[in-house]
Order: sequence, then C-alpha cells, then structure tokens
Amino acid sequence: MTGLILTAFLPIFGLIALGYGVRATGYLPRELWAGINALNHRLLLPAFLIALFARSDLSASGSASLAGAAALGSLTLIIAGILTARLLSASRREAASVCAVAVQWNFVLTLGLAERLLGEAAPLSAAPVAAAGVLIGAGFTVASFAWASSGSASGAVKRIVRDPVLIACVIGIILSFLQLGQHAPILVSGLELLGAGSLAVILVAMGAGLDFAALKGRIRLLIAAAALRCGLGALVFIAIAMIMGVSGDGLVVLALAGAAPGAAVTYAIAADFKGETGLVAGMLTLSVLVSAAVLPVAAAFALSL
Amino acid sequence: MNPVVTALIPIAGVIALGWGLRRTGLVRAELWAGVNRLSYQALLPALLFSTISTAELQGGEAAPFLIAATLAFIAMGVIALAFKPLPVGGPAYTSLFQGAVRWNGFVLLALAGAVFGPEGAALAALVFAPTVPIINVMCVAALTIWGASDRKPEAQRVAFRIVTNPLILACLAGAAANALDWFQTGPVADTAALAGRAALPLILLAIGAGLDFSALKARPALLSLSVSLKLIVAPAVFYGLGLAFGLEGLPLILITAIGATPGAAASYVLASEMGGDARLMAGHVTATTIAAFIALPVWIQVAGG
Repeated sequence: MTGLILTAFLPIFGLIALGYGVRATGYLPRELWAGINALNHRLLLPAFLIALFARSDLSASGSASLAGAAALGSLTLIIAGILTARLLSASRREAASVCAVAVQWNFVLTLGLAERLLGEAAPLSAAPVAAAGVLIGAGFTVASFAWASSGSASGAVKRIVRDPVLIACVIGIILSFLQLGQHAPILVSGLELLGAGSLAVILVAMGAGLDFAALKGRIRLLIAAAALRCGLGALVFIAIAMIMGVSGDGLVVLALAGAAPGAAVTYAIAADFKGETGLVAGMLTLSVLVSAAVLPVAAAFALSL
Repeated sequence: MNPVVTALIPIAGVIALGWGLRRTGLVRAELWAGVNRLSYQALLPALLFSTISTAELQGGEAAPFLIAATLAFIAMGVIALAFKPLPVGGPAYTSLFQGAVRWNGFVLLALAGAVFGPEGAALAALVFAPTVPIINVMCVAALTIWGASDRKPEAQRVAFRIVTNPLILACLAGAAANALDWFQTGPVADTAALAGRAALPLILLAIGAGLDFSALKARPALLSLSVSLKLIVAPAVFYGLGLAFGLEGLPLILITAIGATPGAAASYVLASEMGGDARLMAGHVTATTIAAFIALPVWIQVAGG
C-alpha cells in the first residue's frame, strides 16, 4: 500500500513544488501569476467542475449518501470554525478567513489524488462529494468574506449568485441530471479538454501561491485554521462516512476531502473582498504542509478498511 | 462525422473561448503574458518530454520523417525568398517570410493525440527539436536584413536563446530518455505527464486570446498571399517532400498536416521586436488560425488517400 500511496501523492505534490519553484526562483515572476489565477477562477475551475459533473451520474444510487456525508462534514467544520474564531477572539475579517479555509477544501487536489488511487472509477464517488462540498464551501466562503467586508447580507447574496465556481457547480449538476455527457458527448468534449488540463494548472498555481513569509505572526489563527481543515476535517469526514455506512471508494474520497488542504481559490475570493489576504495565504500554506503529512495517513486508513 | 473534424471541434471551441475571455475582459489582455509564459516555459516542455520519452518509435521510421519535415521548412524559406522582388517594403516582406515558414505546432499536437494516438502525438512532438532552431535562425536573419529596426540582434545572444530554448531541451531530453529507457514510469514520468496535460488547453486558450480580427483589414492582397503560401503551398511542399522520402501512412499524413497548420503567434512577437510588419503578422495569424480548420481536414484527407 505504501507504494500505491507514494505513486499517487508524489506527482501531485511534485506539481505543487514545481509551481512554488518557478515562482520562488523568479522563472515566472509573481506579477505574471495574476492572469493564471484569474483564468483558474473564471474558467479552468468552472470547466473542471462542469466536466466532472456532466460525465457523472449524480442520480445514481449511493450518490445521495456521499453528498450527504460531505454536506454534514462541511457544516460541522463551519460550526467548528465559528466556535474556534470566538475562542480566539478573532475579528470579523479574521473569523471569515478561519471559517473559509476550514470549510473550503481543495477539491481539485482531492480528485487528482482519488483518480491516482482509485483509477477511472474515482469520479463516480468524487462527483457527489464535490457537488455538496463546493456548494456549501464556496457558498459559505463568498458569504463570509462579503459579510466581513460590508456586513450586508444582500451584498453577500449578490456575490454568491455571480461566483463562477458556484455557477459552474449548478450548471454541472443540472447537466448531470440531464445526462448530457452521455447523450451529447461532443457538447462537453471541449470542456473535457479544458478540464483535463486544469488539474495541473490549478496545482501549479497552488504551489506558486505558497507564501512561507506569511507564516509569521498570528500563529494561533494559522494553526487553528490548518488544524481544522486537515486534522479535524479528516476525523469528521471519516467518522460521518462510517456512521452513514459509506465504504470502499466513497470512504477513500471522503477521507481525502477531509484531510485536503484549503482551496487556493479562497485567496482569490479574499482578495476580491479586500479580506485578510496575507492571513489567508499563511493559512493555505500551512494547510498544504499539514496535509502532506495527514493526507497519506487518512488515505491509508480509508484504503485499509 | 469525420474523426479529424470531430477532434477539431473542441480545439476550435477552446480557441474561441480564449478569444471570448480576452474580448469580454474576463481575463484582460495584459494578464495573458503569465499564461503564455507558464505554457511555453514549463508545461509545454513537460508535454514534449513526456510524449517523446514514452513513445514507441522505430528509428527507421522517424528519421526520414524528421529529415523531410526539416527540408520542407527550408524549402518554404526558399520559396518565400522568391517573392522578394514584389513591390512591398522590407518590413511587410519579413512578415510574408515569417508567415510562410513559421508553424503553430500546438494545434497539430492537440489534433494528433486525439486522432492518431500516442504514435501520432510523438511524431508531431519530435518535429519541434530540429525545426525550432532552423525556423528561428531563418526568421531572425530575414528580419535583420529587411526589418525596420535599427537594433540588430547579437549573434551570440540569438545562439544562446536557441540553445537554451526549453522546447528544444525538452525534445532532446525526451529522446535521450527514450533511447536509454529512463523515466518510463515513476514519479518523474507521472509528474511530467500530469503537467503536460495542462499545456495544450492553456496554449489553445492563449492562441484564441491573441486573435485580432481588426488586423484582417491590413493589406488584404499581401495577407491573401501569405495565407495562400501557408495553407496551400506549404502543405503541398510538405506532402511532396514526404512522398520523395518514401513516407506513407501516418507519417505522410502528419508531415502534410504540419504544412497546413496555422501561423505561429511567436511571429507577431518577433515582428514587433525586430521591425517587421506586426499588424500584417497579426492578420496572418488570425486568418490562418481560422482557415486552418478547413485546410487541415482537407489536406489530411488528401494525404490519407
């Protein structure tokens, strides 16, 4: 099993390291990443999600329990995030950062790992988990940053309905229920071409976004967010899956989702709302480091059951 | 539907999407520099390395293909020189020259993998190694002689840039790995394959973002000539040389398709930097990118008999 885990994890974290390397060495300077990040948030990530959902069947038996487990896990992390922020006397903007990093797991990395561990069957389990996770995670993240920046609920709702990731999620879910991927594959083939490539670009961009300088200061908040995301997340997702009777590939995907680092798109959303970008960068960086240790353990545990 | 046309539809869709993203301002024009740099400097070398290192190629088959393709590019340079007596200025002539000899291999790479499988993709990738330096030397020489810029390039600098070109280095490293049977599996091969998957979607988007339809109005007669040279004369020359070197089947189809690929966006950059007619070059790249979607299936049909 060690060989399987290493084979699955090394290329994924290799790409993250590649992204960090090309940015840190100045081979691709920091200012040039703005376009790649914009492309990720506005096109590649949405295309990735639409392609994932369109070629999956979210109405298949077992999908509801997988989506339910992911939804319960995400809601538990939101509550844990709010309680932790209060415990640490965090400001409104700091609290939004803690909760966003805790709840919005990196579903691109999760699916990449799931494909390498489980093969071509991975999207069957990953799609319902991602559908629930993205809707709750991205929706809550946009809402919390909007609330922290303006305190206005209507402003938050407006931003949620305009978020490209959420729009893509809804479109993909509709396409899945219409089974468009099966009936008219040529319509989604362009998206699949984009989706196939987006995994690597998003991982490389994630590596480029690592900011070790941001690990200084407000260390309690940084540790809390990373611990919630990868530590508590892994425990909660695995426990809920086992209580709900999810096993096999579904359990592995949920374990990966629970132990995954925070989604890089959280930084872009924080920047959109003029949130605590430095703090979010530090939280995401620490969550990547923690997940590199926790993810293989969580995957090995789920695979052994 | 014809498999070539079926494969071209998503490619055209992704290019159109790139144009739409830039045109609507969702990803603004200045942000594409980072996308281009990441694609050409990191992801595309990974794709070339991955494709060539794992290809199952017979040396006897690849050698005449590469020699014929290289000679065909030189032949196109000679044909372009025959048009020098035309009553056009030096800068406009350099754009005609570049239009005749430069090719956009990325459209073919995307097409070859989808239609002709790994062997087709590997042959298309291999062509980069001998032709990138030759084409660059020919174009830089033409611009040095007939371009409007007073700033002439230093030979040493041009040579250094060619020798350290990541595409050439990746092709050579891939060929060496293939010959020595290194990196066929394992983390390096997996990481390169994963990174390589992202290259084509990003490059196709960038091609779309670079399209400039307003440039089609610039010098229509000269533009018609450069497009004809690229999509009618060049494929015929490549096809003829392929036959002369005894190619048949897939290698003959591919060498003909190389001739029918659109113009390269790099020619616009070079024209801008070295005193060529950049607007004519932009028109050529835009026109050939659109027209190649008709030329490619036709010429592939001709070569495939």
